[in-house]
Amino acid sequence: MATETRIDSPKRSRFEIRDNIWKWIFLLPAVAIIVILLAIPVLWTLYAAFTDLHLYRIGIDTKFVGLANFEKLLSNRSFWRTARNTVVFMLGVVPTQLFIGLTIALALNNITRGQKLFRTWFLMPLMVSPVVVSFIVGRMLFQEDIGPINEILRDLGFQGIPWLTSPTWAMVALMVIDVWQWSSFMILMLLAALQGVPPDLHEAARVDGANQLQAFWSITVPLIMPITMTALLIRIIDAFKVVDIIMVLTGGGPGQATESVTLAIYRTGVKGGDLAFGSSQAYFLLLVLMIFGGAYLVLTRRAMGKD
Amino acid sequence: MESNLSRRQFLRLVGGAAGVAALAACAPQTAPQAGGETAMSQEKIVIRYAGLDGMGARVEQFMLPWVEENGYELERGAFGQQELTDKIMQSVATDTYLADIFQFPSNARADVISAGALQQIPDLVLEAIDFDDVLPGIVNTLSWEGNVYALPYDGDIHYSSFRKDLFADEDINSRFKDTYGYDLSPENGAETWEQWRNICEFFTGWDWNGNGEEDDFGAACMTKRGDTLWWGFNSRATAYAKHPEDPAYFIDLDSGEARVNNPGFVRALTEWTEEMQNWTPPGGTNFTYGDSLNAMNGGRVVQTYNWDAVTSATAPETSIIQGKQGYNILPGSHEVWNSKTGEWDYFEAPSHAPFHAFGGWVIAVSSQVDDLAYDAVWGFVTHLTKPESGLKFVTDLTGASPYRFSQMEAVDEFANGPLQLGEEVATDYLNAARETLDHANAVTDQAFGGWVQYRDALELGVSQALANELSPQDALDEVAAAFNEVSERMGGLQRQAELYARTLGM
Repeated sequence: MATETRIDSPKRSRFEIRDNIWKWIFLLPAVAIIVILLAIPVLWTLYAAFTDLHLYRIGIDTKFVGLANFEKLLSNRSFWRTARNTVVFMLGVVPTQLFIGLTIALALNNITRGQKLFRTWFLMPLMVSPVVVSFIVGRMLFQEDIGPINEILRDLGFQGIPWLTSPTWAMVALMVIDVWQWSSFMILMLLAALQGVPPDLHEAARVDGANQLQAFWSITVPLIMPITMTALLIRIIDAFKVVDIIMVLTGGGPGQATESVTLAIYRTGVKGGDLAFGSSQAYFLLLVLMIFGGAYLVLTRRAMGKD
Repeated sequence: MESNLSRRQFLRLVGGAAGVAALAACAPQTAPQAGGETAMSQEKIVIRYAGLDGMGARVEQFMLPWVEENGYELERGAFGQQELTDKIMQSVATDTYLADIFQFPSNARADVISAGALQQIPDLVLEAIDFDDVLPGIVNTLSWEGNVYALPYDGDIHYSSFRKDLFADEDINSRFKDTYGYDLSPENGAETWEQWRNICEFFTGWDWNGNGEEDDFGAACMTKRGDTLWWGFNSRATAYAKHPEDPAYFIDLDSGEARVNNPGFVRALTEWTEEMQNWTPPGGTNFTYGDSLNAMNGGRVVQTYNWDAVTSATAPETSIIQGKQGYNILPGSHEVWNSKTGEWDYFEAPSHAPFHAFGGWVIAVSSQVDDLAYDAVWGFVTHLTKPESGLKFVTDLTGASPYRFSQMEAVDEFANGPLQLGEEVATDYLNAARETLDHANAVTDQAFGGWVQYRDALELGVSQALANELSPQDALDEVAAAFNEVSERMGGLQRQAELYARTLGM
């Protein structure tokens, strides 16, 4: 062994050095871009969160204020209202999308003809921009005065629904739009998971006398769980960050009833120019998502018996 | 602990580093010239203009012949309304170049001018555009500490508009008089907010527009947060909260404390909430500026107040009320809150306080104009804002409103020009505009530093009251606290009071 090493090492060493250099040369542009586009803004935002940096306060120097922005955040009623709205929105849309997604995916998985057509069909809402969906589905259908939904309700003898002027209904309208658009994502993800379940496991279960429900709980659910959990995590994070449909449909109103944390951050930092407080809000959201995401992954892995 | 870098220095440093990296990647290679020198550019002088998409397109269309005749080129940046304000504020804050000429909201003048972002208008230009012809209310929006930094383009104000034809209907009037004890006025509309409320109530819930449905209402206003709620509410509040003997409205000139939760504002919000919840079409507590115009022009409501009620009512494809509207200054009030004495004062004749809502878009020249383009840029703005050009803009469907004495006399151009208002409507409109701009108790829009933040705070509170999330008093108490917090952040209550006094021309 020692002799072999001594003979081969010079050649391999030269090759490895050259390979390492080229690897780093090729990686450098990507690393530089990531540093410029990601690390600098992230670090800069962190810096801003500890100052009183304000875009429109011209002629006054920026001061380091320690944790003052975070203290203000914790006692800010308006911010907690947006946090509550965001959680309500997430709890309203994600379970509904999971239910619809699973139901339709199971149905599609069992049909033998037209599966591709339906799969394409259900892909379509995902291809539309959320802004367009909010405008067409939201502002036109939910228009309170002359919108088609209220027109139909009135023709049937009911009162029109105050879709955008009642705090409760405005949140419902947003949830309907989000569910309409993103249930497709759940359908596609869960259908892919279901198609990965080997049919012979179900046949074996049937031979062993299991009924369909038992087979579903004991075979299908455990096998689709990893993809389901991933899809849920993606949707939960998306729901926490929701801003586009709210901005177009309700603008956060009526009052503050539908304002999300992300919209509040945008209003504070970008529109209002209060980069310091906006940055502290953004970091708070990031922290919450990281804690939630980490806990979610640990718990789900534990539940699936991987740890 | 103070940072060594100022905010602007830091922003510039970060922006500069990113910019250098991006430019280094994108810059084309320059061919070296003989003797090692780079060839002098023989390109045409380019004038760069940043403005609203729609208004800017009109400016481009109007100015292109002049630009071509003089051998220049024009590059136009087109932005949405809020986007343009954000872009300008960001370029001012970071001291970066946006354009040679830009259209900007006059509310932002404290932020933009005091940052040194604009060039003072030379006397030669002021003479060339006959600046003495501009109404004093507009001159104030172009000036800072006695110097002129911007040129007029648009005389934005809120005025009242109402269905003159219905108010003149004898049957309707007699029923109204039976209920409220006085006649509807087809000449003036509602002269006080009390009358406005009576009219709102009377015209709600019966088929006065003859469409076979009882879907008719009294009024529609701009009530949506993030849209134009700031102006919708302030126009409703000025008559109660602006005392003729006190120049201040938004904050106290002595202490800098917010006034927005005083009984004048609270009364306005209490009444407005009732009006918007009961006497407007469905969704009326969340109407955009466009929604309120559509309700008026579609014949669903009998009164509104707006910037563009006149021009929008002329378009046959969107309006069924051409020639049926009357115009006046905003309604007044017999009772006005006196912030100095802390009491309501009674006025025999209604006290009016018309609101110079927004104050209009103005045209300004950046302090970063290249020396080569200097003459071209000043030539451009002079041609754009001289009296003949201004008249063309305000008498066409451009969205610009009159702002010169001479324009107020141009009844024929408004009546028979592209707007086709007809003589009666044109006269009503110009009288309302002139009376608003010339009024001794008119309220200048908020223009001291940080107006976007004050606006967001007020819109949040008012929209919460409109949605019944908070009582009017609680909502405005929160707004007042937010106003004071913004003032502190922007340099302190006293500093903001001083800036406010300057925006009032004091």
